[in-house]
Amino acid sequence: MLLARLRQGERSAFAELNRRYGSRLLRLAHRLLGYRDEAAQDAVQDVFARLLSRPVAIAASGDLEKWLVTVVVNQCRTHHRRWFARLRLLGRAPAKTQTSAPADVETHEFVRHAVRQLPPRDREVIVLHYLEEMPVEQIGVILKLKRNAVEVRLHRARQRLKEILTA
Amino acid sequence: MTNMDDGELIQLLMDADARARPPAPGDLMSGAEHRRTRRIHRRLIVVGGCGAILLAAAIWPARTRTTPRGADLQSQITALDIEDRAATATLNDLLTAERRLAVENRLRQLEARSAEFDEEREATAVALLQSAADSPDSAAAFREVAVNFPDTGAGIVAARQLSGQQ
Repeated sequence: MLLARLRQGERSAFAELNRRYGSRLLRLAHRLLGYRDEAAQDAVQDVFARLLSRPVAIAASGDLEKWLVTVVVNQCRTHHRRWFARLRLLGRAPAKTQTSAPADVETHEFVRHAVRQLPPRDREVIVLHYLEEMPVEQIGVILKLKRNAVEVRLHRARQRLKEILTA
Repeated sequence: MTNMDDGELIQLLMDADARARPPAPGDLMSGAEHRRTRRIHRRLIVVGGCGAILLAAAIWPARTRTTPRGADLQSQITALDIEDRAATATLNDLLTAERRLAVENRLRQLEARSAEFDEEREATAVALLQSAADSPDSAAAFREVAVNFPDTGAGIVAARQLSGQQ
């Protein structure tokens, strides 16, 4: 029902979409973008802006929430690409492996800092599997990967995260 | 944090995530509306800019071909060119005339000098002929006049005198 209203471009349907899934999608983007508030808001607003501009692009059927998660993951990838491109343009190499956080930072912040240091692809699987609690099969559908590939990526991401935290 | 197993790692991860506060979703829709409007404006600016560039590209060559100012300038250049050629031709004519005049003057001078020279030659030949008549070796004196001034009257007279003596 909501899907059909969204595809017809009904404004009240978009308000409903925001009420139902806004927080969930914002939290996902926040995690995927390394706990950066503004970046997360930008990404989700971009997703909603695109849906407002082209409501016919919204999936005709199926699980709306899953579809929205896929769109947000892709939008976060785009955001990453733009961010890296901007850094390259400014002549600043992104710091990929900062070995340790400042000494006075608490443990939670230190762990979040480590997650931020992960390459975006590794961070995606960590966030989707351990924080969004998605099964490997569903992650495979969202990231267009086979089950084995998702498991390999998860293993590698855990190793990298350990390396960062124990460095 | 050393020798951490996967369980500890995941627990740390979940604890840290639970403490992270995502931004409030309150103004997501208004932000999205704003972004959509901005995107439309950006597209309009890009399309308008491209249109302006294409229009300018289409108009500019035609303007450079047909502008009256350009045409005036071209006609002025042509006129100046014609004037320049005419002036050059006149100058050449003047120079030619002057040169011709100078050559003619020089020729007249040379002719005058030549006439003077002939008169002097004639006078010299006459003087030598007169003195030859009074000379003891008149034959040698007549021969000298006849040989050196054969084209003068005195030279011819001296030659006849010599042939008469012989």
